Amino acid sequence: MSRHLSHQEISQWMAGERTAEQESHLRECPSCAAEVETLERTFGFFRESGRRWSEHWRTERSVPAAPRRRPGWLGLAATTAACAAVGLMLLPPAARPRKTAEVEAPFVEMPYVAPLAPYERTEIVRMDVTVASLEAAGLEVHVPDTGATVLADILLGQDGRAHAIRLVSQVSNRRMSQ
Amino acid sequence: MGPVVSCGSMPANMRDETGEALEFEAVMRLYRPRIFRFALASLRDRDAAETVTQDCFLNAHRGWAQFRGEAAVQTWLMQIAVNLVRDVGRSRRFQFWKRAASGSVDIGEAADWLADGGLSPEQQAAARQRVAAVWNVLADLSERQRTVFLLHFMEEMNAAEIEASTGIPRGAVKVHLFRAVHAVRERIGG
Repeated sequence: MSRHLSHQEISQWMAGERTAEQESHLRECPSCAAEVETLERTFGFFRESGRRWSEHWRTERSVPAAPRRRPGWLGLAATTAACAAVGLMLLPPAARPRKTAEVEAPFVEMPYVAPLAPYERTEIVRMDVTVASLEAAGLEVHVPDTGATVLADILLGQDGRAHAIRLVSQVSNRRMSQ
Repeated sequence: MGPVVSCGSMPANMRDETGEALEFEAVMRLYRPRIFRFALASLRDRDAAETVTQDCFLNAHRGWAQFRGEAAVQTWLMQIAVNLVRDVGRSRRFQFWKRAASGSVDIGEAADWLADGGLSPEQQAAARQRVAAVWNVLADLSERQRTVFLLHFMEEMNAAEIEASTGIPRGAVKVHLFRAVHAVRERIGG
């Protein structure tokens, strides 16, 4: 092999695809050998730095994570959602039992609420919610009587914010005030 | 008691029921740094990397009684870790925090952990610059390219082992690796 290894051939060599002809050329050509050696040294340094770096993070004593900062609009949205969630939780539960058919519905994300943090603890609370509260939280509920209630599962984050809701019962026409 | 596991596969005749707990402990001690390293380099988030590492060994512990050494221990563990990293990396919640959070690990600082290795200050600076470029390129690679690159150049796994760990066919492993190397060389000018 008289010509130098191409850029592509050197990448292939580094990726482990090697031919006897290339190997022979590298033994005879100082220029190509130097290029390959530089790359091998770089990847060797990369491996070494990665091992030391990860060992540092693995063995460093765990400290409580600093509070994560959020952009301003998210803070505003979170505050709005928190108000809505508190409002939902303050509503008095309706008298039971109620003759409503259980329906399996998916959770719907609460609008304008920042997503849960990774691995944030959550809990699901079942409660009666007025349609008016749902509408105030930004959800669309197509019923004429905004005083009607629904039984719903609310997904609460660690800080008590409502993140998602799943309707459990159909809309009941009995008003909360009754 | 010396290490029960040296490296690679665990022959079935080395194992008995009473020794399983000790065996697993030894496996964990030996492979925990590697699994954490792979997770940290992939996710660039210490908390997520720790969680992946714990989940990896939890899953491995559940399956340990059934593991009879058909595959190398490292390949088997890495297979679990690759799936966990993939799940976490694709989680919308994780992606959100990667964008919004300031607490994630700065991958650029990894290059600062180079040993001097007898290099002159100028050579060290040049090496650090090139290694930093590799780390930065890593962040821009596709998920598959990054995984294959890390398993090959960081964990020194060959194409067959990467195929077993990732489920990516060997031919595709070579293509991903070639493209990743090509991208690195474009950045570092090598």
